[in-house]
Amino acid sequence: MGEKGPSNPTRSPRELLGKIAHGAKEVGITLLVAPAPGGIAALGVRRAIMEAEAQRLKTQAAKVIEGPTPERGQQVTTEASKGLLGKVAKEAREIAVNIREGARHPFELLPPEAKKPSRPAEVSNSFLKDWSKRLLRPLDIATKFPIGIATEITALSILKNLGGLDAQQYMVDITEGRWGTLVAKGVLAGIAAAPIARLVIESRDLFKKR
Amino acid sequence: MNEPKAILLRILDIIGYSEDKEKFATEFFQNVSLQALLDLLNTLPQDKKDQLQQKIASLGSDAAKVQGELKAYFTDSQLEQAIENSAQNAVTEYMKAIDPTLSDSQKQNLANYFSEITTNASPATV
Repeated sequence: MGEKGPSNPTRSPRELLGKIAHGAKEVGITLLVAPAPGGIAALGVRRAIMEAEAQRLKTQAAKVIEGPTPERGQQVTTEASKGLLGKVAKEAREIAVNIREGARHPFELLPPEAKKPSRPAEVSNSFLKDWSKRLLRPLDIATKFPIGIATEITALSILKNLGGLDAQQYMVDITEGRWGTLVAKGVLAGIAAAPIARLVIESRDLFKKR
Repeated sequence: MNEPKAILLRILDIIGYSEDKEKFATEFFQNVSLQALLDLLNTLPQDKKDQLQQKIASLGSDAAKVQGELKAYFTDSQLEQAIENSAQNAVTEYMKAIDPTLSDSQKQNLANYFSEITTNASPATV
């Protein structure tokens, strides 16, 4: 008990975060982890501890980490300065049950049953974000910016960066007029090819045949 | 009437998307547009691709001129097909992505909605 307490500088932030997440899971709470803004994962660890306290997980968290709840991340900052920051951010993603986009805080505690209804929304956001990122690659924009910034660039700003274009003006609203008709046609064809709609259409055809 | 944005907004509504639906839909269709442009660019040989990109960049924010320039490289039919294909692929991939996360009731509601819009669609738009 307490052989690797919080005052022990050998405990890495990654280790702390893992144990806290595990402690939260043990008491039936899903710890949703996202790196703090600016990638300051060390700060995120500190906030995780604070959130755990706020959610009356202090005892459980402290028990899991086999010692008193750490002071606000002194050694975390030290470790981060040794280059562990990236590893912590990566580990945070792995430990997390999910990354909650648009969370008001870098860390959010939710009961497991509250998680499922938001899944389609999260996947929708990830889908759009990944798509925008894929659009970056052919235009070779990502190489022109630090990676953290590049991932934030939306499809709209790609064209702007490409040649100083006002992308907003350049982008024709393809949802209206002649383009809108074509897009609608594509959307309906896309729906018809989707797994859910295929079942509907096939069952309707079957009904007609009978 | 089956307007693309309205369809996407309804899908977002059914799946319980509680964030800014308009913003999502706007970015979605902007990506459709950009994807179509990139797909078209990728059909050109490298030298022509570079040439067109430079021309587009030099035209500033004049959408009409940019469209005019595109028409010098692609036929109306190619442009239209690219947009339609891009929209189709986007929606299919999006539905595939969210499908495993949907509850039974969400799937049922989507199926009902899809049935409704595909039944009501005129032959010209299907």
